[in-house]
Amino acid sequence: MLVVSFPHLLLFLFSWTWGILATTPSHEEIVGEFFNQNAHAGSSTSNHTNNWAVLVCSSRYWFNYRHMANALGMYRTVKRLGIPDSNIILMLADDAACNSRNRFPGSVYANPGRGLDLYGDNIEVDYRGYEVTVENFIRVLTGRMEPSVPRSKRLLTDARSNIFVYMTGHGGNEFLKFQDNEEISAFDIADAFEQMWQKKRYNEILFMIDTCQANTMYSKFYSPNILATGSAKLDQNSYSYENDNDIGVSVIDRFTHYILEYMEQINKTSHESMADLFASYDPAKIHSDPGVRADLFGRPLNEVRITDFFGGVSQVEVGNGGDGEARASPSGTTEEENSSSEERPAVAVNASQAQQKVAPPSRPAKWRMTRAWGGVLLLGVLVGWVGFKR
Amino acid sequence: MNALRARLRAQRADPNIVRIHRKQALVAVLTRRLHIIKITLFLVGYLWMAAIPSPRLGRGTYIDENALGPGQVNTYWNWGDVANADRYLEQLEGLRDNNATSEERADFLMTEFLKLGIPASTQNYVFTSSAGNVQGTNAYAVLSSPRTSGTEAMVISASWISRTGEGDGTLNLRGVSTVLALANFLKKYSLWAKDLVFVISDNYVDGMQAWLSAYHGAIQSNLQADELELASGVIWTALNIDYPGHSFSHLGIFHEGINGRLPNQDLLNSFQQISKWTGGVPVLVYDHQDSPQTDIPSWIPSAYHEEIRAYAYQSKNVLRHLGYQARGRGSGVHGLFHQFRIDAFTMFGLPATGPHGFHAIGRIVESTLRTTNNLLERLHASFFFYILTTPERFLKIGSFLPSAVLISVAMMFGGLRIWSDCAWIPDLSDKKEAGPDKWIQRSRPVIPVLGIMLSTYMLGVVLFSAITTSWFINNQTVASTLLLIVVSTIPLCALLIPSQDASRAAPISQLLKALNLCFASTVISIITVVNFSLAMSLAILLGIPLSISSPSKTLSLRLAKFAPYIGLALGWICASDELRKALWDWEILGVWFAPFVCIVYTPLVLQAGLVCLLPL
Amino acid sequence: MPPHVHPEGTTLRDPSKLFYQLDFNRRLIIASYWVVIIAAIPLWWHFTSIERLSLPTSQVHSQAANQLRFPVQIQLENIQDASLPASLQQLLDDRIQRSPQAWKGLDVRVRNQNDANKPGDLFTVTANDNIPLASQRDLMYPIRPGTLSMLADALSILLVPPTDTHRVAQYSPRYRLAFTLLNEDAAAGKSISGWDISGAISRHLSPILNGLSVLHNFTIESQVQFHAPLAFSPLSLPDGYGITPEDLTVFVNSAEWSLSSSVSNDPVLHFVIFIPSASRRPLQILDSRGSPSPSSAFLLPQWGGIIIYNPPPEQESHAPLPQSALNSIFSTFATQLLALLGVPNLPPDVQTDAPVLTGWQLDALLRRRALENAEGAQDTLKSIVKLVDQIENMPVGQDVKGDVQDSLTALDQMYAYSSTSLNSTLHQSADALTLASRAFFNPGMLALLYFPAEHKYAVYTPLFASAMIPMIATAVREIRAWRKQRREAASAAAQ
Repeated sequence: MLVVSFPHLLLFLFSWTWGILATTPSHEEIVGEFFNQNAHAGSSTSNHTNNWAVLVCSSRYWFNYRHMANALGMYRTVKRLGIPDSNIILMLADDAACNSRNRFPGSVYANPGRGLDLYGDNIEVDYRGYEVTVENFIRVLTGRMEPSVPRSKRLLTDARSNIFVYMTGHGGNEFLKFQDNEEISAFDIADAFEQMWQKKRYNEILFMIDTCQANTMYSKFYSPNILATGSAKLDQNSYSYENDNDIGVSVIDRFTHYILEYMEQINKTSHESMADLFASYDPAKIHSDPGVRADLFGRPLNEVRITDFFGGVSQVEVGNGGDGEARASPSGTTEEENSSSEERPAVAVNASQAQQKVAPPSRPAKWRMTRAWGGVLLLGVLVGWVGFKR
Repeated sequence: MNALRARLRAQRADPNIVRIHRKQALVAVLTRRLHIIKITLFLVGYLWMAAIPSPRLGRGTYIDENALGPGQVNTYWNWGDVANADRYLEQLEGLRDNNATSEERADFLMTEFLKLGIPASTQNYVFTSSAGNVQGTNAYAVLSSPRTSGTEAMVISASWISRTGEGDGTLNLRGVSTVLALANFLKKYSLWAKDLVFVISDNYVDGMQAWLSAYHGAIQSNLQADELELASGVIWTALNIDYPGHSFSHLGIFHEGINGRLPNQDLLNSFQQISKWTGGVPVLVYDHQDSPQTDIPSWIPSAYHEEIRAYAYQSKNVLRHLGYQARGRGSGVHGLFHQFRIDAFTMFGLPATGPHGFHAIGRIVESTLRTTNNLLERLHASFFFYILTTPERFLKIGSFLPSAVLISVAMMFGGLRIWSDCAWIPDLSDKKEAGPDKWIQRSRPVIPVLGIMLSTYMLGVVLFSAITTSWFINNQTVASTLLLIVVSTIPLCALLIPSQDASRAAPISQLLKALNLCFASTVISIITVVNFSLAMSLAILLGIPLSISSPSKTLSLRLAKFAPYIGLALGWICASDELRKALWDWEILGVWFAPFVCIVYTPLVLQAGLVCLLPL
Repeated sequence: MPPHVHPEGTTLRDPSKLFYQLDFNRRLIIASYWVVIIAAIPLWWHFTSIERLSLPTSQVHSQAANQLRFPVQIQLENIQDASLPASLQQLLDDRIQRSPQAWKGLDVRVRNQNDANKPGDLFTVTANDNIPLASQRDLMYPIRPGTLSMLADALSILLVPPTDTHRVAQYSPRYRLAFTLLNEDAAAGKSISGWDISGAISRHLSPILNGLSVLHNFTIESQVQFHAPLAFSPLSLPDGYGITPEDLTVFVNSAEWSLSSSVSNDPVLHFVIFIPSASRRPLQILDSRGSPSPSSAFLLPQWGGIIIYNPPPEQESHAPLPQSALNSIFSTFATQLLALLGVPNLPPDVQTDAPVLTGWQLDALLRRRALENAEGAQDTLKSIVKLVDQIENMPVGQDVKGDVQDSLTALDQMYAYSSTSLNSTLHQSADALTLASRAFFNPGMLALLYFPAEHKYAVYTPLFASAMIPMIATAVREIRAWRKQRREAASAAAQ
């Protein structure tokens, strides 16, 4: 009896593992296909006419003060660099400023010295508290709103919009918790971006996320023109920066802190590129390995200005209207710079092909399903047989 | 291939028979070795219990709840506040020297709270008990949370009498002044997410019992207490401050609640960290220090000295824990909170000539309150079962619970073995056959046995009602001798039960032993999760004695065997002080220890004694 | 030692005599489980399936392959040489050959006076020796063999004017125009206290808005602000202050200026008059070389226009905007509005006597917007179909299906109208786009939370495998026993 069932057991284990693992490599295959197909020929200046930002703090509770400070720090920065409030969707899952435990009511600070109140005046929180849900976030991205939703809560982007998406909270491998009771998966965001791409709702996206295992969150993206960066790789935690001893909690996360610190030297007319920002990452200081994903992105990173995503308008036309205007394009000087010197080989972009065809992943998806179900079926048959033999 | 197929066929022939054979073989193997298994279980169980204080078994404490963030705040309690506390202390000493009554003290305290602008009130109470009435007056104040609705609260309390010597009359004047000065200090913060309730309870534990009962509207029948004029929300945590000496060198954690309940360990761990890092005060479990000069025989290699010393220190802590938890008495005023699911502990300033005083304790309480203020929900459920071996080491439930369970399993095995053996007797009628291979079945008369067991419990109930009468308390020496004689002679009736034909029915003594062991084992297993210390004590007291009880042929031997069981079952009647305290705890605080001993423990031991008395 | 097992010789109860072990009862019990499971399957199916109505996929694809075509006829009048139409046709065809993308959707035919009427918009070019003049749908042009090439160029610009898609706002049936008068700092004195906005609008903008009313519906709002600081400090020049081209890109201080209300979701075009603080006048726009540019107006693509107005030094404190300035400012706004809405310019050498727009311009705009809308609607429909196919959890409700079908109908009608009525074509194209977008943005189409296949198996397998496998095994065993029984009974009967 035992002799007979031992091979069964082996088979069983094998098929089980196969069924479970069947999906993992196929995602990579799909992603790989897309890398080869979707790399755009690099055009060095951004084509956008407007900038938007979606800033999400997905965790509640007083001890997650730092996540709210992260989002508010980003909010301050994008606003300082010129994105108007009407173009910023700020989602804060809790109100740290008005928490009764806040020693400084109405204020949120992101540095232990409490130098700068991030919650000063002119804060426009578009989604607060229990409104910050996975569903609402996806609705914001895809634009699938009830007609009654006001303009300020909508992401009214078009094919010429550059969008900066920043998320922070508690996460894990391919998910980010919302409100301690639900979670968004990397697939959800990837699909939402694809829908945005299909509806021409963006020109380029910068996706930035600060959470544990953050880099897994952008691993499933497959739509073109997305630049992504995260705070920590798989199986790595993202750490908080410092604690304020009067507020009594950590006030900001390391990754966000160092980005904001870098951004402080940027102003609306700065020429620093995203490559410069990424080169400023120091894993020793951040205590985790930040990641960058640029394979879907069309332009070399050293020609992508930080202000392409964090700033306001890129060009204006001076003149009395239609005739004889002089284009004032401040980007003129950098365009002539030689684009061949990459500072970080890790973020080099494969821009060899200029094909725009997006292959539907239906065949691999079906194959994946078949394989997975096949595995389970085989397993069922084997277990049944073994059970039946006894 | 054919061979394989043939094998398969053969198996398929009758799988049921194969299965039955397999089961039979297994049972036979187990039965043959049951004795060894039983002894091994006992041995492992007792060794495990002995290993609980070992430094190798525990692990370091840690904070499980993210929200707490202990010790992450600056403290602002300063020397001005210390001076305030000193002023309060002077006034309290004045009251003490004038022999102020409870009402006068409470009025003074209420006035002081009111002077600070905090709503305050007093509460009179009277407990009636068989040992006489207990009365007093509590003072309390409610500082409403400035920015929330006040549905949650934290309590900062001090009892008028310190826990020194379990309430031997040492006054907790500094603890009370600390609470007053803290009230003055804490009201300046606007960040309280919960109401702060300051309670100065009268006497040692009864004042707080009256206050808590009234607060939760659960007034027991023998309590007459004023209703509380001020109300607040659900109390989540309570800090009880006990500071009897002039200064203190360490802060001791007392955490056992009544009926063996423990507060969430996160609270203790947070306090431990805060005290160490914010206050700079070393923390102890209870109020004894690690004595470094333990005498260790010189023949032991010096490499083991450290471990032995640690074992000695930790076993002291574990024994004190056992003492508090098993008796269900609680180690201080905080223990009363646990009955309402409030996490509480007492911080006890170990009296010394220095170096710490109001300055340190104020800062530590301030920081601890900031930490408990951060709580968003009740502390995690998994952190209620532990044994603190040192302030920074503890045992998880999995590393101590099995010890008692193993013993109860051993007892259960023993009982079941006897039960199943009772059903058979070797057939000796056919003398010609040499081997005892032939067995005949016999009946097992359960009803008389259950009757005997029931009567022991009845006896336990009668015993308990006897000792709770005021007559017993007032004439304890006479009464306890009388009770002892009566209760030990009644079982002798068992001698009158005639012997039976062993070939038709199993002897009653054997059946009684079987049921006695099974029942005792069940009781121990159930108690392990409710009150491990009690279960462990039961395992030690009942495990071997119940397993070795046996009937004898001669009367003298039967009586000689019965005598130790009577000692084990009723010896506690002679410990008059302990008995009085247990009864007081039962009547005033509702501690279940006294009825448990009378109604569960004593009958179980008496049954074992009866096994010895009954005919073979 | 006692035996502990049942000794031989004693009787055991026959299990098959137990009530629940009777063949019939046992089978009934097993069958009842299966009945419950099978009966529950439709329920389970109903409650776990997502409503996914089928979309008219093939129709969408065939519709997407269609190309909107506008027949345009040009009639030459008052010409001597009868071969001129043919030559002009030839010249135009050459141009179409050269840039087919620009001429997409246009079938241009040049015809003689006496040709029979064919469907399509008719434009007339009249030979005339004066300067070229465009009126409604006519063009006066000196038509000679030598100028024919120039005429062809002029006609190309009139029919398919070059556009800057970068600048032009996306098409919307409704726009909100927000006019704002900003005083940088009224407290510094010499501020502008008000303006005759309704007069200016009716004088300068109403004709344009009326002319464009076939395309868009306009709502207008206006406001005056007295404290609107800049987010940067202008460059100090010897004779005033200057704004560098880089500063211009961040001129709009959206953090401090609230430029439009957000009462509706219509796109907004902003028109801003900025009055510099009295201490910073005159404020000029600098070109990239650093010298002041003659213009004080600039345009933010797709956003709106801004004019910096420096009140004359002699202006008294707190006066309304002078009429003359208002006129010049609003004529600039009018130009900017036309540029933002994509109204094409006339060829540089062609004059016009039309008050606002010529038919040439309006038609070109209508054609381009219709083409854009049609393309947008087709793309949107295609992406709906594709996404529904790609994302398996995406629900498709009745309203989505209806909108897709309505959009397809609108596209069909648009094609039907394309040769007869340009206005109707545009309206149908706008409807098609609106409906397609509404279908795309249908709130009910939000894909349910992604639930990876692994998670499904992880949830289902422990739950069902442990229950189902014994059940299947028992069922098989029971059926086999039953068949064996029948066989035995049959053989017994045979004997």
